[in-house]
Amino acid sequence: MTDPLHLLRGTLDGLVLKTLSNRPMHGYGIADFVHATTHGVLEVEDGALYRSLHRMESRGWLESEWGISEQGRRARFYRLTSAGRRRLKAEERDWRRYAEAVAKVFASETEAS
Amino acid sequence: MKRVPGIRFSVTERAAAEEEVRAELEEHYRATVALLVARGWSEEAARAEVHRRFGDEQSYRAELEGLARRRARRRRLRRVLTVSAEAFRSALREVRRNPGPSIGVALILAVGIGVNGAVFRVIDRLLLSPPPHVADPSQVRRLHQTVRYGTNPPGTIESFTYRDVRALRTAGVPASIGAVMLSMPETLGAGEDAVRVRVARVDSLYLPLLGVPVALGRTLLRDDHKVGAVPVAVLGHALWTSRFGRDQSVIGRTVRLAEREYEVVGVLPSDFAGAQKPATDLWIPLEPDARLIWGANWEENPNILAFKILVRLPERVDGAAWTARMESVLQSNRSGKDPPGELLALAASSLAPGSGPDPGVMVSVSRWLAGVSLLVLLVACANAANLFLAHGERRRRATALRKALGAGAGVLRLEQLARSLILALLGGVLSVLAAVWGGRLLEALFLEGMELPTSPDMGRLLAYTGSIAVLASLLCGAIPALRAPRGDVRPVLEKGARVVGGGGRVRRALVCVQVGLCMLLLVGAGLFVGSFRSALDVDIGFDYERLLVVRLEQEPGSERPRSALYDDVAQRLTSLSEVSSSATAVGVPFVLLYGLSGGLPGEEDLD
Repeated sequence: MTDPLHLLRGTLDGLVLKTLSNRPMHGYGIADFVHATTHGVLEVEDGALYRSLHRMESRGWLESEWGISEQGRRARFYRLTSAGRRRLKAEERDWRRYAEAVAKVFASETEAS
Repeated sequence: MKRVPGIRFSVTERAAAEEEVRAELEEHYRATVALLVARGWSEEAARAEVHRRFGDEQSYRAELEGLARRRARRRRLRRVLTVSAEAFRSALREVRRNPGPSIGVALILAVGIGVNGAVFRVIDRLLLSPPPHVADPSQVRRLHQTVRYGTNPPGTIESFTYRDVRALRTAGVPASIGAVMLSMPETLGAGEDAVRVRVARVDSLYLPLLGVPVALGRTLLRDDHKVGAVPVAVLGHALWTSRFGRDQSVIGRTVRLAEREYEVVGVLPSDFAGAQKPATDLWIPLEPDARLIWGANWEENPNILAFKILVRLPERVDGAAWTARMESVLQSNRSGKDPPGELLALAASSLAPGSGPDPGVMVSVSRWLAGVSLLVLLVACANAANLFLAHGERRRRATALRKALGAGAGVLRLEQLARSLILALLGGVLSVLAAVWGGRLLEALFLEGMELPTSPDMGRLLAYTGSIAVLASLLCGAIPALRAPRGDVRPVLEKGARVVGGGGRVRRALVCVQVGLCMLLLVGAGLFVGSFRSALDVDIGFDYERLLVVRLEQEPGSERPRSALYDDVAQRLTSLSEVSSSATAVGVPFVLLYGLSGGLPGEEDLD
């Protein structure tokens, strides 16, 4: 298996919002979901994950409440607010434009060579 | 630790926020370590790996705790706003349900707040407000000097020589300096149309320094101040109204002042009666008249202590430092042996009439008035608090029921305070009317003929009345609020239980306070009336009843000696059957005195 990639700066918020768009999750669950969905290619740094969660909660994109995890432990669950859903749409749109632009550049390099 | 009801300490919130972050991260560590151990890692290696994945843990933790604290503060603010809004809604419902007692409390508070507003309206006009229409009045200062001349005791005066004015102007510090001559009432017009007016003879920088715009025509120009220029005058709005009926064609007409005629060139705006007391009716250039009165050398004459000085400082100049420097400039400019004497101190005060080293007797009168009005407010608040307590006793069962249903003590207290605030604000609205009418009544009864320098400022009056209303709501609402949810509610709610008032002692104490304060006011009023009668009975050394003072002016250009005029008039007056006697004098007691300093042998032993 190849080494995991570090996340590009500015992409973590989008990944977290997308992950939480399915259902409320706790921090560990989010990190596990990203790791599993990308087959280990993307690894979220734990400290950065919680910083992102708290920052987005302060901005009103997420809200949280304490609940019981799958392991029967007390855990803090995050879910999207309506402002968070709007933010997710904007993140998705921006990311697609960014990825298409980068792809175009790489494609042009291939043709030139 | 005993907690203050209804108040959550911020230290608790801080601890709760930190605990949330700690618990969340700890759970994350535990779950990740468990996963790694399940994948075959040793416990120790798994812990090390978790810490590695977390990165700079201290920094993250501090940031997360900070964010959590901010969220907790926002939640608390939202909660307070929600609870407050609900408390106000509930208080409004209560006011609507019991309009009679509510209106009673509002009226009682209106009296207390209104008396304070009326007194403030007068004090504000007399002492606190700078004159209207002056540009940026906070930068303008009046100068005062404390001087000692010869063996006389030191005295603080607002008058300077013009030599002082010139010395300040050439001191090399950026500031605009204007001077106005001390004024006495003078005669405007002649014959039956003659009226007494106050004239301000101002130098060329005085009016530009104030920046007062004209309502009509123009202000005094630099050329008007030159010797030989056509004599001109600017009218005050009050004189323009009373003398000329606001006739726009007054510009270009002449007015006769004593023995000289002046062409009217402008009218100053309404409410502006000068920057300094006394109120002024007419402004004319100083320089030509000063030359006529004192001769060509008047600017350098150290004996003419007859000018008030205004200074406009640029914003960047430190007023205290400027004054200190000017003090040394003036000290070096004079000798203690000559008039105006040795300068002991120079002081600068604002244009507010109540400021300065010698603000006058009105300051102490105002303090007494403010004290009396505060006592009236306290009486009203004690009365209103008593009514609130009585109402609270009647609604004790309803309050107990709400408490039993879960309403917190803090919420019930907040509702009481909201109710008192609503009624105090209602009383405040009524009191503004009372303040305006009461202020006029005060002025008519006690301040008749007194020069009130400015029009009442409604904005300041509203701000003051609002502040007093909030203070009144706290004074009358605090005790009922603290007593509202007291004690166990079960006995009150039990079937058939007799609701017995529990606030008897407090209410009796409040009645005692009211009676005590009323007695204080009555005794004070009695003493005031007694002092007033005594003041009226003081023998001032002459009988001023049926005494007429006449000031004589000659026709312009008359060659007749003044002494001949005075003798002639005195003789003709004495021949009138209505006149028992007449005399000529250079001064009138308490108005204008001429005198020379002197000494008596052994006077130093009199102390």
